[in-house]
Amino acid sequence: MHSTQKRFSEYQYVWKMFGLLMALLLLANSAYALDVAKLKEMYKADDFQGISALCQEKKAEIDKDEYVDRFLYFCGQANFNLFEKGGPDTLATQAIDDLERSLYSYYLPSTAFALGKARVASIKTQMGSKDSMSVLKQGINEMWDAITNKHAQEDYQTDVLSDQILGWTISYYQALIDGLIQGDENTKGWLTARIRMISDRYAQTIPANISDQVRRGNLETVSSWMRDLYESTYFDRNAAIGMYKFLGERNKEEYDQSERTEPKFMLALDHYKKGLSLTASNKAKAVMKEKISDLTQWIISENKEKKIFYYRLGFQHAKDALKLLTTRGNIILAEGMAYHFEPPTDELIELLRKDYGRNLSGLLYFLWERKDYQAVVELRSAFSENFDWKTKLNDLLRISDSAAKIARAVYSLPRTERNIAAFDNSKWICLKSSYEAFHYALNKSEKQELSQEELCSTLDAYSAFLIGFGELAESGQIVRLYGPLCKDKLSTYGSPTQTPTQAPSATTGTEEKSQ
Amino acid sequence: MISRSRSIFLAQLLLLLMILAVTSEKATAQESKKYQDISQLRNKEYSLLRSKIEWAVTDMVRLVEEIRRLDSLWQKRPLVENVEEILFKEVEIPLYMYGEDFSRRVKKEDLPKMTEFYARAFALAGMARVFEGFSSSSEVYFERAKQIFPDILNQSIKIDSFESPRSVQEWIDEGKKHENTVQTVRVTLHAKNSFSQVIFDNLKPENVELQGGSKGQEYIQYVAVYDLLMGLSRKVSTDELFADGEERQFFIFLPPGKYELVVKLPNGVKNKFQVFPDPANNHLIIESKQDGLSIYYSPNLVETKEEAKTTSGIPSSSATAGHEKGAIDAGSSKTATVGSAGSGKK
Repeated sequence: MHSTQKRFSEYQYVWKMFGLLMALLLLANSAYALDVAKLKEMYKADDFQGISALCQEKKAEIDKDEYVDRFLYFCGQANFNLFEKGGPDTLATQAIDDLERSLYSYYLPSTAFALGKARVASIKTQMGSKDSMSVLKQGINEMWDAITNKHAQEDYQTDVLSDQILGWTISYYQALIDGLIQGDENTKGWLTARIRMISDRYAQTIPANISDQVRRGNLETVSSWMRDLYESTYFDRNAAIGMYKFLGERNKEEYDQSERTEPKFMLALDHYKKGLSLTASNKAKAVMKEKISDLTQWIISENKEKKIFYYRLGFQHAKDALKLLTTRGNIILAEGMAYHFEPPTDELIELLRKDYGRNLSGLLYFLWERKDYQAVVELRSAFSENFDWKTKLNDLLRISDSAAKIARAVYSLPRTERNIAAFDNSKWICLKSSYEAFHYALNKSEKQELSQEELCSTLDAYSAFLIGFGELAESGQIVRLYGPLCKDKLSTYGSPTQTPTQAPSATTGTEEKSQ
Repeated sequence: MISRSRSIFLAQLLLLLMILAVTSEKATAQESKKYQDISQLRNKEYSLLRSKIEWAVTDMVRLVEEIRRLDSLWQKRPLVENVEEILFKEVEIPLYMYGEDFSRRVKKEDLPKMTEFYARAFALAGMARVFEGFSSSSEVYFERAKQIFPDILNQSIKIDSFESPRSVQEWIDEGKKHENTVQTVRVTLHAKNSFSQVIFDNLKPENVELQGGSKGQEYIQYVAVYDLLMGLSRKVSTDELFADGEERQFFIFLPPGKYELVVKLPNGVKNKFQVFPDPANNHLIIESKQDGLSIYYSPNLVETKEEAKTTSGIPSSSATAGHEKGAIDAGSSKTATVGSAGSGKK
């Protein structure tokens, strides 16, 4: 009995010891709460609030810890992320303080970069003041040091930049651009040179040397951006305008014609417009106008009024730019080269003509679909330009059709002198447009640039309009002359509504944006 | 007749010798490979060193290119400062670090090319100052460049992406055509190595000001204060980098005239000094004083200054005054001429 009791008390002792050990383990585990790896996991899981709270709670412990730099790095990054998500300014200040202390205890390029980025973000809303400019410079220097230090650790000779540098480059040039377009005049030259310095790092890269397809793609993309960025610093001899052009391009790239990315479309347009408002040379004006008219043609929206607005905007800019480059062409030639890397005028004119046609075509279609035939007809002067575009034939027939519809509507009104004059006006607009359409089709066919089907349907429409307006002799002559070209392809003469009514599509009007 | 046991022993010995020979050959091969590896790594180290200086020069070219393009002095300033930062960080520090080991790290056949790179960096810093419009302040850099690579002024360099390369001298000549109308003179400051951390912490551009001189010299005085602060914090290009001696020297550049160095701190002191047209007479000692700076003529230059009073056109009463630290009361009219010392506390 005694021995059983003794054994029992021994068991009790063992259990107590076990309990004590467990308690110690638990304690140790709570100390483990300060483990860097745990913070890293929380950071990866986007638990910024949790990290921030932990950093505040364990501040004294962190300061004494051997890995204080790592703890402070995550604390700073968490606070910065919370600030970026709309948190108060104090979070940015806290982030900067954490990152500064981390950097002082142990320099790491990633910490320096995060610090610079946080500094620049902290003054984003008040850029331009003297104080904020010194913060901007400090931030940019820290980010640059991080990039060059990281770059120096890599092998320069391989002509390949790491993914980390690619990522940092984007944040870095965004900071430079913010400074250039929002900062004071005295720092613009410095920021311009800094952009060229980072662009130089990409000048010698050879993406084809990379076997990994994803990395190769990344390098190709960033390298092409850097080339564009570099050239943009010379735009119109004012890097700030070039930055608007560059930002417009990047936002345009992100617009995939979906409603979700429509804000990117708006941003791109806003940047182009801001850039245009600052341009000095005619060439730069024409370039920015081309950018706007190229962008607007891609708009896809359920809202047809919106489409009409943007097509009209693009058409107008293309028209203005063509006027700048052609009717005032001599002025541009006298100016000589306006700036380095300016596009050749001939190429620019080609682009503008395409934009002109695409925007006009879209505009005509949606005005026609809105039954705003008067607005369609008012655009007929757009065809006086001496160049072609893909849907010109279709667009001319749309003018004819709209004019015919106006005439028909007027015809049903009381036959006053005024109404008779309006009818005649619309009739001749219709017949002139269809005549132009037909002869345009003939010219194109002669050059074998138009199919027989298209020529014949145009002849069909033209003769239908002539018959519709009682011009039987003219119609008869036309059909007698050109009918044999079409043989059995001519329909029985129908109503003028046989004119093209389809929406601009990949083949007839605005094309799908190829991303 | 050899006994069987002896023959076995001899066979074993032979085998052992063969093993030893093979092992030793392997070891020699390994040893030689190790040396080969080290040699390759050294080549790699050298190529990184070369890339670093090449990048530094490329970055400096970008900055100088833009300095040349800009019109406004205040727009040029951050770029000039950046050029000098790069020079300090990427050239002065490595040169100090590697010191005499430099020639060992660089391949013998590449030594002229490498020294030319370093000299180019100094020349670019000089060109930055020339294109800023103050060629007198560029001389320091060209002197350093020539020390490293004597023929540097004749070397061709491309500083504009859209223009052909020209020699350094040609760029200098072009820059001098746009020289600022106000000429500056070199002032050599001999800094005592006894600055306290408190003073360094408080010496910021907003706390230090140069007063005096002529009107419209705000820019020149800003640059002088910048050079002064950089010099005190040792972030300047000098062959005395991290010198352990009693004092080290650096330069500021001001037009001849009377100045007052003001440190805007509660216990800061005002110091009056004069800049003479001849740089040889502009040697001043600078040291910390209470919460600020004290600046006074170098006692070694008493004789030179005695000569200066007759050659510089400065009235003798002013040129002779205040040879020694604190010799003249700052409030008296005499101090307004030569500059002195700590007694000028207000």
